[in-house]
Amino acid sequence: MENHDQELLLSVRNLKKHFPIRKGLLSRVVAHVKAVDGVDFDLHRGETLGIVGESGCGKSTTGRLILNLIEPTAGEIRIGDSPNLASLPNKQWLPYRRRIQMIFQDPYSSLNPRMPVGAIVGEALAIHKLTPPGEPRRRRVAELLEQVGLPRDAARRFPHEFSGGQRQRIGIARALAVEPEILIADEPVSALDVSIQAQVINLMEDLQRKMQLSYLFISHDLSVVGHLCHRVLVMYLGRTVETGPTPKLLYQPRHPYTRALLSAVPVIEKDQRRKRIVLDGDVPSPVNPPSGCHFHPRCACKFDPCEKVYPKLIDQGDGVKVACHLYDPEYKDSIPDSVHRTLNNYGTAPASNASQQVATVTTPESNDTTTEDAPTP
Amino acid sequence: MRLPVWLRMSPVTRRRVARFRRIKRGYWSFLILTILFVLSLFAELVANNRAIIVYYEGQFFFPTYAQFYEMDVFGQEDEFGFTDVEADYRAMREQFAGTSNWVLMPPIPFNPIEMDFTYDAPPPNPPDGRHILGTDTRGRDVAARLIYGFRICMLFALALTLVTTIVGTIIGCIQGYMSGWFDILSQRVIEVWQSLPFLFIVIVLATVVRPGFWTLLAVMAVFGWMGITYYMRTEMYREKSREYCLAARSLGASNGRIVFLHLLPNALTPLVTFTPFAVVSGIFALTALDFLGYGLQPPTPSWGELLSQALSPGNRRNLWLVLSPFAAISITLILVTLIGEAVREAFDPKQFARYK
Repeated sequence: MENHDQELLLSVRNLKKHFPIRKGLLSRVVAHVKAVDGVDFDLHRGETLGIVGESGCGKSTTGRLILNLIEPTAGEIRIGDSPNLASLPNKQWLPYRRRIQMIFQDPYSSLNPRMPVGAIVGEALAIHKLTPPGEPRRRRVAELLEQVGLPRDAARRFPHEFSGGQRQRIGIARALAVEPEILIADEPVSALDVSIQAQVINLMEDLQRKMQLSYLFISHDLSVVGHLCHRVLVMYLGRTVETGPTPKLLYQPRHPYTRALLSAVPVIEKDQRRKRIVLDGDVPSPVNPPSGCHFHPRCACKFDPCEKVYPKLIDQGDGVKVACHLYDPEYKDSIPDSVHRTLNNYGTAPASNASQQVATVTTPESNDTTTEDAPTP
Repeated sequence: MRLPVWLRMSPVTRRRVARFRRIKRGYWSFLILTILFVLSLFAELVANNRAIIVYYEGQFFFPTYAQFYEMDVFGQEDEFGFTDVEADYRAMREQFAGTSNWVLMPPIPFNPIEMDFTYDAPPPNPPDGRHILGTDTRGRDVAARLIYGFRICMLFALALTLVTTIVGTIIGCIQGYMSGWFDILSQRVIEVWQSLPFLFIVIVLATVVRPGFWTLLAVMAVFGWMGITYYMRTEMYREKSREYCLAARSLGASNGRIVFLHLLPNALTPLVTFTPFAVVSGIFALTALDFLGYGLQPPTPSWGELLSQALSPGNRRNLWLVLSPFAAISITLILVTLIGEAVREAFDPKQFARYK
């Protein structure tokens, strides 16, 4: 479901981050790590956009770039109708931090161990001068803690007294303190146990319903992404390879890389197991990415142009955009038969079952059996 | 009871304090030294030629911290018949005998710069009932000088530690947090600065200006802040890469807020563990300078000066002169070192992870 009728909250255009590699006495720049190399997307109110990809593909960097935690090399970031926020000085960024916040991956290191929870959650209130210190702030902090399902007296305790799931709730409460419209969730559940993951995800869904939040959900867990996200963006080596509405992308993956990713989602039912696509080798170095399509050395369907030309991100008409020469009308006639054959079997064999398999993993009903966790006192 | 947030101890700190209290030698050293130091702050009540309380003709007098009382206030006059000099409190016990007046003298009824020439032999005079640790070469009470020397020494060492720690911490934090060019350049400056021979510089300076307490403190602080920067710098490097720092930045916290509210409380371990040893080196440095004669101006009571008297050629046989300052220095340094070791042990993270 695309929410184009909803207000556009965040738009990112051609976002790039090239980390310089310096060598020698004079720290000459010898090369660049192209961590993020031209990413575009929009996020609407109440929508969840998932960013998926292997580790090292630039998903986390993208999240941090948007919040200006890392300075972008190029590109545009706009929140609502703001001016371009990329590489704006921190001072001028401050008002926008009330509209966009972040949930971090590691609930253990993302909370200051020396600060009581009340101070952690209340910090944003102090920085943005939202509630005066003392009683009003204490009351607001208690309210925030209740909102994420923690007891009010949690404010007086220290982070290490809480379990991983509870700590992630504290992290969410901290992000909610400024009443943001957008939350960037950088692998918010990948450090948690599966049962706890479900609780945190349910909490995030509840909050989205209540507060019309938009999420930018960064993850490598496709079943979670399929459950939570309205749209998905697949990244490979800092670039978008495929993006579109979740059902389309997960039921009918087009890009060979997306197909390979989906085939790696484990399925319990034996008769529904499909052929697992094992990608050869590692993600190539982002310092010196392969020529042409960055994916071609690991791709089973490569043909002539793949090694030479980087594919354009082409709209397929149904909301999906793919960066692959197989779906480029320009090369449509030059695809060899052998590639067609490989592609037909690729990751979707037996083709009729593939979509159902993904569906069993990703339909919301399958996760509803989990219960809310009652925080232990 | 609700303490303000910044005063409430985190559980880690509470556990460390508990562990420190369990290390008996360190804990007792801490108690003894604290009591001695607090007592020395009231040294005027312990060693002084002024009485603590005088009861004279139905009136109470507290001369210790009060103004100057002339002799005629108490009906005294000196051997030349003058009455406008300071009252002689030591003589009062005899004077008041048989009347309702009384006087309470400090345990050591001499002040540290007062010269006592009542002996037949020239000073230094050996310990006796009048001067429990004897007198020095100028007839001053050694016990009184030790007590006042301890106060100056401790105040100096604590002030020096405070100043160097604050300066070193701030600079180290900025280095570690900013990193990059500032870090590299300032690190080189610190290395050069640290290689200057500090003692010689103080000696050269002392020949130009006669150093007082504050100038000496300033000079030693200027040359003493570098050590702690190394530790704070590395602590900052480590802490700033953790996600809570990123979280604070994404909330919009300013750099100052991040460094001093988030990172510094997590980087206190080297600070706390090094403080006692900084105090040791402060005591040692002041005593050494006084011993060499480049420290505090005479007649300031000082341990180093007492030691140098004792070791001057004419006084080698007067053992009490060398033993008492030696014992005082040794005991103080041992106490502080024991505290330091206990603190270090209490803060040792390996308590939980022992490698076998």
